[in-house]
Amino acid sequence: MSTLTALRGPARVVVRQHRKALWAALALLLTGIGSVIAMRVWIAVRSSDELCPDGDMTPCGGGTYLPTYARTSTETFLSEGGTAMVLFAALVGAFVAGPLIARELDSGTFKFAWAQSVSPTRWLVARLALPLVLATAGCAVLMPVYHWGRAFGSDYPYAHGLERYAEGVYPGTGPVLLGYVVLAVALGALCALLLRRTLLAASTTTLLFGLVFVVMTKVRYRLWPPVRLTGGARPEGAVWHVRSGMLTPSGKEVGTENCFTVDGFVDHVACMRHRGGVTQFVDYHPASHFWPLQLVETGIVLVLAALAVVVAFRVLRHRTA
Amino acid sequence: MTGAAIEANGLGTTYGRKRGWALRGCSFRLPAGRICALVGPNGAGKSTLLSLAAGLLRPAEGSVRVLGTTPAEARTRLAHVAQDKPLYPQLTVADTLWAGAQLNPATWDRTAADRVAGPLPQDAKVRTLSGGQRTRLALALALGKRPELMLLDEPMADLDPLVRHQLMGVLMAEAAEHGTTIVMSSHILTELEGSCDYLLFVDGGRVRLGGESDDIVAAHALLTGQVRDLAPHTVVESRTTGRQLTALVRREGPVDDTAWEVTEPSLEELLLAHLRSPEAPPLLTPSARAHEEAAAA
Repeated sequence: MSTLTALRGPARVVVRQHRKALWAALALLLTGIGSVIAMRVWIAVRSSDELCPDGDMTPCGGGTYLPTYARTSTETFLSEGGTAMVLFAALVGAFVAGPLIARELDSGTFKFAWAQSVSPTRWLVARLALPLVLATAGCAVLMPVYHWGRAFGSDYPYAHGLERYAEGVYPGTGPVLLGYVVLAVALGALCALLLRRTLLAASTTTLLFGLVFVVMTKVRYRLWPPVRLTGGARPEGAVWHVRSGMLTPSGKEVGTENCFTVDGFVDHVACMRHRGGVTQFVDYHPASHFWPLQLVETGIVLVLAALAVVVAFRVLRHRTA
Repeated sequence: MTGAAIEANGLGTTYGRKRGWALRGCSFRLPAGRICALVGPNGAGKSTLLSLAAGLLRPAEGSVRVLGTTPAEARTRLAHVAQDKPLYPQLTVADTLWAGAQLNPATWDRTAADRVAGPLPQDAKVRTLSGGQRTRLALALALGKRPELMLLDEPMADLDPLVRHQLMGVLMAEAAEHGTTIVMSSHILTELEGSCDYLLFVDGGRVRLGGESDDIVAAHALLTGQVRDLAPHTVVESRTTGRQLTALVRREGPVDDTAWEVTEPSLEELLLAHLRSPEAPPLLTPSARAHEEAAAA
């Protein structure tokens, strides 16, 4: 309680220093929410062209399902919603690194702050806590809105880009987003304290954060052991297909890697049989792996963030009394 | 004996790995309740010394104690105004004073701050203020904090003589009323001479003179006479013109005033002589000696 009270003053001053940035962040948040609402309204308005009230999947008097332009463009837009939210986190990180911390170290205004009754540690804690609380709150609002936006028709055909395992959706659907927000803020603090230059710290933070995110995206499917189906069975429902191929009698995996010829495709199955495959297999993540995968990734990201914060405070303490 | 406002023992710090020592082997004591002039040439280590005492820097060696404790512990009880008068440029004057109240909740004194910040345009952004106005605002924050120790780095540099006189008056009143210790640095001694009763002369990263201004002056003598041995006195600087010798010496015992024409040097002459003679030994009066040194002596 006493630490919270002690943080109130520094946090209020940070808010007043960066009023414009906070308004801009709020505007960005409202733009995101507003676009999702606008998209849904658009779909609703155009829905009479798409479906007949008789309840089947075809327009009135037609035999073929044809999604409206409203639906396809909404799908395109929302299929990168998760990526957009991670970009928002990166923006928060760059802001923490540049204007919030490094600029004070660069221009010497930290001397003003530390000459008041606020220790350097508390000065930094306020600059970490405030963006964390605000960005987390922002994400806590955005995520359900995004979920609601995606729910406009996951039971409609061809909406694969909106499944929650889809690359552009996945980071915006669970705790992993909060993990990335924490990581961005932590990396921002670390880069700012190490580099002490506004632009340099902001760009390095963005770069490092982007690197972690890209690597995590690449290795994400390995974070939980996938389920294997053999004998030509196909996984049901919204799953994440990891890899497929054939198995030799000794259990070795044979893929389609060498099945491409100069002329183009050959019959994959025949090719793999030719290379010793006897039975087909599919590795995939069923819907039930969603939470383990999310939690493992969140854990890794949070550990990285914790390391960055520890080093950041060490750097600060090394320099000051 | 009153407590020490600042006590340094073998204090040293570097600018970075390559640029060498900013301050080294610095030992002195500043008794509480003094108005101290911290003088020395540019680059002598004055700002570094004040930053160390304010807890903005961590010493590489030795220690500095402020108001009987560490600078970090004493943070709420001291005020520091850095040389470049750092303030948040995007805040207004009123916002900056509000920030002072927010960041010093325990001690903030609005009246004390307003006494100095009163004439400033309250709605002006700090970035639009002139150098003198910035100084005024920075001093207002320092006074509003109601500190026991004020560390002011070149506080008067940007001020015109009239404002300088007025603000010095405010500071002196504050010191007289509350027993505040004030340390003011400058490379121009005359700026501070009339107001300060204590002197710390820093040069080349060391304290070379420290103590009550009067005692330091009294410990020296300006001798004029025919060329002859100056022993047993310590010669700070001597000049011969023909057979005439002029010397600034540190008295060791009584001066033979039949052989010499003895005058008391001005503080400025004293400092200039020391600046020109880097090899002159340091002089710390008993009250300015750090405890470890005093015990050894």
